[in-house]
Amino acid sequence: MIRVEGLAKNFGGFQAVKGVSFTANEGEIFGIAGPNGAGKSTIVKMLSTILSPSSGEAEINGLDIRRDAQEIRRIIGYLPEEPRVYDYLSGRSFLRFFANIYGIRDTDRRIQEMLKFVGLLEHAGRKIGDYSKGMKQRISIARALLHDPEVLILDEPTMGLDPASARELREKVLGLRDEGKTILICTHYMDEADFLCDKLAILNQGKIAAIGKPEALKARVGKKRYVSVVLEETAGDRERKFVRLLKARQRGRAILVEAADTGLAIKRIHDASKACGVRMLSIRNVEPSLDDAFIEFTRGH
Amino acid sequence: MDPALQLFKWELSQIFLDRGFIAKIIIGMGISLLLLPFLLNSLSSFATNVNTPNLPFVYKIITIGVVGEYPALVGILEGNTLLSVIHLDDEENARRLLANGELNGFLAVSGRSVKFVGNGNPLSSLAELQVREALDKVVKAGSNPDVKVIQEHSIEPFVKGIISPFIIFSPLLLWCLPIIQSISYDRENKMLEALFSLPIDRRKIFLAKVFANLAFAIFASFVWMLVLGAFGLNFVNFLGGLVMLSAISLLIISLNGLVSTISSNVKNATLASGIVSTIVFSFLFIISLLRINPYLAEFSSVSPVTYISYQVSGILTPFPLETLLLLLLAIISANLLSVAAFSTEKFAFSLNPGIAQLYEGMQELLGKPAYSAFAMGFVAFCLTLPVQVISLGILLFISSSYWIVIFLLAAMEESLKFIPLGVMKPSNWSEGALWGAIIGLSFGICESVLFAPHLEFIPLRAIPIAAHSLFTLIMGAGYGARRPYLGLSIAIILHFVYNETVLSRLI
Repeated sequence: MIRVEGLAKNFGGFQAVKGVSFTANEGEIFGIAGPNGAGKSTIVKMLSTILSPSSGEAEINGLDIRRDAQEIRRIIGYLPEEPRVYDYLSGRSFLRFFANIYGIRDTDRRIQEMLKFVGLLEHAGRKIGDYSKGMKQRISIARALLHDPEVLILDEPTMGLDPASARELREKVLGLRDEGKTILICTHYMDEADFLCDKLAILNQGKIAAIGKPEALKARVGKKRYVSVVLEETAGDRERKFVRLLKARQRGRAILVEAADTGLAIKRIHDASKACGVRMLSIRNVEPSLDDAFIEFTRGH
Repeated sequence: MDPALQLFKWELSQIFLDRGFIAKIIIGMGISLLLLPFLLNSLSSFATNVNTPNLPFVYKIITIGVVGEYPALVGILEGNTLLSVIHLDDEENARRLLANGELNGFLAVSGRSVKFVGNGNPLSSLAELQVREALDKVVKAGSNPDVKVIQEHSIEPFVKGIISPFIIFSPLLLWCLPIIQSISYDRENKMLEALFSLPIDRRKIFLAKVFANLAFAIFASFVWMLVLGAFGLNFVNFLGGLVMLSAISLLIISLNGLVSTISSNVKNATLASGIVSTIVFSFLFIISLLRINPYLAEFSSVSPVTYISYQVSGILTPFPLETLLLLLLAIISANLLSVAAFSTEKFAFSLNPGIAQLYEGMQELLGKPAYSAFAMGFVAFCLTLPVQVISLGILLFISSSYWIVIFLLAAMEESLKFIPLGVMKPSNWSEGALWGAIIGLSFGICESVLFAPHLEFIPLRAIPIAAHSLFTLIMGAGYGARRPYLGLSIAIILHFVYNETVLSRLI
């Protein structure tokens, strides 16, 4: 279990984390989402005992992050934001180095297990320097799991991975949760947070803007439904006029029109398309997503 | 096994497994060995083809005894400006005086044979040269063509002792490099962040890296001494030589560790290490060479190079414990500073570390600014020595004006004490004055310990210690009152006046 109470961190005059509190229960995936610079990594580094907090308290499985730092490092598996690896070592030697430091018994069997788990068994003899970014991330995950930690702290675990590898990794994280591990995960992919997290804190400028189950967070912005419209590509200036007229938001090719009443909104959209002389390729209802919650709670950033 | 021990074992194995690095050391040793035959050959020819060194600044610095009668030879010797000649009754007495150091050598004349006996030290070798030149003149004059010289010692070991350290120490610099790779590479690749999440104390991580390099250095020193022995360069006391070589290695490793800790990447750290090692070795060599000056000969034993020189030139000397203690003091200081920087939390993440980070770490380690100020005084002192040696060397090359030299000494010492104040940044005049006084105090104490040849001399250094404290107090107050350069200028002027009035009289 991870219990955080009023945790804060200052770097000189800059307050990166401003009194954050949350609890992640055993066997639960707790997510921290937020825009870049919101303080996600700082929280993770404090919980991993790499940084010491300026104020506040935090406990991991009853151990205090200040007093019992050494013991905490034994029971956590920490995956930094980017793979931290020795390029000149082979995957197997890299794991052996960490296995020796953790004093793992039956090292060879455990390394074999981990290589299999992250799908690198065939590449174990190759130098890490020759690995792709995804493979480096996978060997780092094997490193973080090597000593069978009770608590996993993962900072942006799928960043830079291709969609298939990312999906595979998420499945593995769910599997680890099912084994009873407590998992803290930092991400700025909302679909990932939605898929993985039992509980989620949305962080903005060092403070928790919202916290709760993903469904609950979605429900909180749920009153706002949208209709998404895609116009023909040649619309140009007329498209801009169309957006202005409907007071809509543009996200990629899609134009999102706020719709308290969907029927009324569709009528307004039709009127506007006629007025602006644009042709619609598609029009559909959009259910609120965690993305909307994220945008809503971090607005003004 | 303890995780720190595991890390030590792993770091050590990485050094041995780095084939490129081992090859570099072997090449380094090979190049040094290629120079060895030239050294040994040149020594044997040097011993038979020497001329009197041109030493216009010395007068009667060598004392030799003469036992027996040989007026033609003694007359020439008495006319030599370098020599004082004492007439003695018997050889036993001459040997006793030679052993006491009251004589640098003696001539024993018996019938038609002349024997020169020296103790092998540089002055004795110089005495031998003078005697040989005098004998040449006697022989040329044709007065006694059957005279022979029996040498018990020659200048060869002395020259061997001067040149061979260059050969011995060249590969040493190489085997002290892994610590740079081990710290700077980890920092550059952000591996330190992963290491800091392991169940090992940060200080132990640093020490595991240092000790791994040291273990390798001891092994390399041992092998190198065996190789040198096989090529004819033997150490009189193998164990003593090994201890001293290992201690010098540890000093360089510690300094390399320190520069790696405060450098942003491997390239900068290697460059800084090259500069630091050159300065340290030049300094140790210069101190060691002081043994050719009779007034400063005692001072030369401070340098570990002196011991190594005596070892390879076949002169049995007791192991210099004081030298080892001084080395250990420097080693402990460098490592304390590194550990201080290493334990700051910014260390793993900062890409541009530096002296400020060192100070931050020191504060974390020591707790109070007053303690840090004391430690910073020591840092300033460590910087002073090489800076003064180099700049005075350059200055004396350009001009040897007394006024310029003593002004420069004052300006350099005060400017180097100014650096810690710049790092500590006192916020008001009283804080600046207190910290300044402590920096000066520590600086003065370090200077006194180094420059006092005997411990009983230290009380006499109370005046310079107090003076240093006062100058830096004024400078610190100026800094705190936001007039840093005014404070610095006043401190330099006061120091200059003090050098001129007090110090010149004390000397």
